[in-house]
Amino acid sequence: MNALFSRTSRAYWTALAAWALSFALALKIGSVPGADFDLIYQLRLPRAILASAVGAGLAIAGAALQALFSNPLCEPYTIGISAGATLGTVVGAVIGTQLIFMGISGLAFVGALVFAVLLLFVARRSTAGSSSLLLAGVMLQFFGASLVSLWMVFADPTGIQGALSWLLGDLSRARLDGAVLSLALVLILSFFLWMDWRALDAFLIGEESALALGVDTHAARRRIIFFVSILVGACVSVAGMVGFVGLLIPHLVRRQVGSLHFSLLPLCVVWGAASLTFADSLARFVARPYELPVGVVTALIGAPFFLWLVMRRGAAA
Amino acid sequence: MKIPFLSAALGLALSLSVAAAPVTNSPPAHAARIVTLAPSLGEIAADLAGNGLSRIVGVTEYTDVPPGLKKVKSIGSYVRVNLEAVAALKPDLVLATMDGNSKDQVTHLQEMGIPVVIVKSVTLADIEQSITQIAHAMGEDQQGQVLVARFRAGVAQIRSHAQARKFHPSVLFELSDAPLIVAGRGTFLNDAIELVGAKNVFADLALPYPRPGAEEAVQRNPDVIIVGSEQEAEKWRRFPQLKAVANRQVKVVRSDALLRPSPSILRGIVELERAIFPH
Repeated sequence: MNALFSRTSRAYWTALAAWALSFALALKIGSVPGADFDLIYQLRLPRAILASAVGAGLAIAGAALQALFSNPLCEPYTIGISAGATLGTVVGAVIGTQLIFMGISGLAFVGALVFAVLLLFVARRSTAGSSSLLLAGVMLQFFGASLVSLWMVFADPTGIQGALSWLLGDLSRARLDGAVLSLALVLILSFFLWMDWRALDAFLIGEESALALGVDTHAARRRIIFFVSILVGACVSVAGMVGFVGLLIPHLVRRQVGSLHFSLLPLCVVWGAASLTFADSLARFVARPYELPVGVVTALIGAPFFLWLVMRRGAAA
Repeated sequence: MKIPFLSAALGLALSLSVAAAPVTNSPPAHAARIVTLAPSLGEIAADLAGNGLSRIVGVTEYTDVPPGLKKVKSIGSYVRVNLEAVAALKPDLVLATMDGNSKDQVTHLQEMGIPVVIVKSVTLADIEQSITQIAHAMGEDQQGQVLVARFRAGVAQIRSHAQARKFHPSVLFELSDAPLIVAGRGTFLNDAIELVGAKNVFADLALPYPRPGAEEAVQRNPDVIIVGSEQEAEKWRRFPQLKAVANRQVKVVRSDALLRPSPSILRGIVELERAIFPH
């Protein structure tokens, strides 16, 4: 027991150290060498905080979705929940409420929720197993993307470049006050999600056994979908479509501490924050003076990982 | 039971994150460290600075008029400038355009306490207006008046040629061929076409740079088609039924000046005039 405890606590310390390191790196490097205090405070610090918030939110959302759908390939991006949030944000742009930040964020949440509920419906009805869920997710992405393209045909051309970089995942809009609030919001929501750790464990052993153990899986499922949708809506409305953080991080953390959500979820929060902060440093640094959208960096690392997961599952079956 | 608390927290968080109203910081009377966020703005600033070209410390990519600006530090592409690079130059005046620069980035610079002057660059009248505005911000009002007068004289000269013409051909101005993007109403290209005495065949579309289908273009059957390269011209020759193709009026105009909302657009307009009215 003691050994187990120390192993888990070592995992926490490692994760926090990784976050601290990547945060320090994010403040240190950028397109300008030897930046002064103002520049770090006004540009790099807000981005590092926002990257932490979005990475944390997407990673824990991914972990929860993987348990909820009993599918290791789930995450907000691959099953289309991010696309729902994106669509919500674009609808906000069309009806012209983007002046109010809350308008966008609220609509992103509604978009994420609608797509998540649709997926839940597909997952229940479908007899084709877990791959049908992913296919449904891909279709939702196509659907969302086509409506976004439709908007682009009629939109003001000067706005499109901004929209394009946002669609690829972009943290350059970070402001200090907004970033701190996003981080606070993500941490609060993560805490609520974590309170359902028993239910998430129960989904792993199957719903009937869970009901036998006295876990109200129906209520838990509704809560989890709700919190995941707000998390994804919040992340997408500030950073666009950042993929694969929610896939990669839960898998790596599971290798370290196993599948039980009591430790898995908090560690996903910290590792998610660390990894996206690092990815954004790369995005700002590698091609300077140009800046890559951070979603490009995460997809370059995440998409091969996804393929590897698929092939490994194929070999196991 | 958790939900009410949560929505309260959420509501608070979101209402607080409504962006603070942009602060307008005023530049010094004689700005000495100017960063321009579009090639056209670099050109206007350079014209106003005259021999004091060293006042311009940062420009966007492709800022090559006057040639002296090619050596100035680049701060990225105008659609997405590198904010860190701009801030590191410690500018006392940033020149931005409403039409092309990212609104969010411009606001961000203002929030950082940098004086930003934002001009409109859609029509020919906007160009004149932006010269005056930039001259004032740079403390060069007098030089601004000189430039505006020169610009007006150039416009008047082109207009005098146009008034002598009896024939007013319809023109399709192609900006891109895949997808087809053309000049629409209310743009400086539309102004240029009208100034030389022609008609824009897509002047009725509400968008400034619409994407009509090729079918629509064929059906409107313009007298002249203006493209940017020989390859693009070749694509139109697939439609021999077009008047412009039959009469060899698909014309290549390679002019950066024509696509930039700055005083040297007059040179571009003269090229356009020669392409539409060769004689």
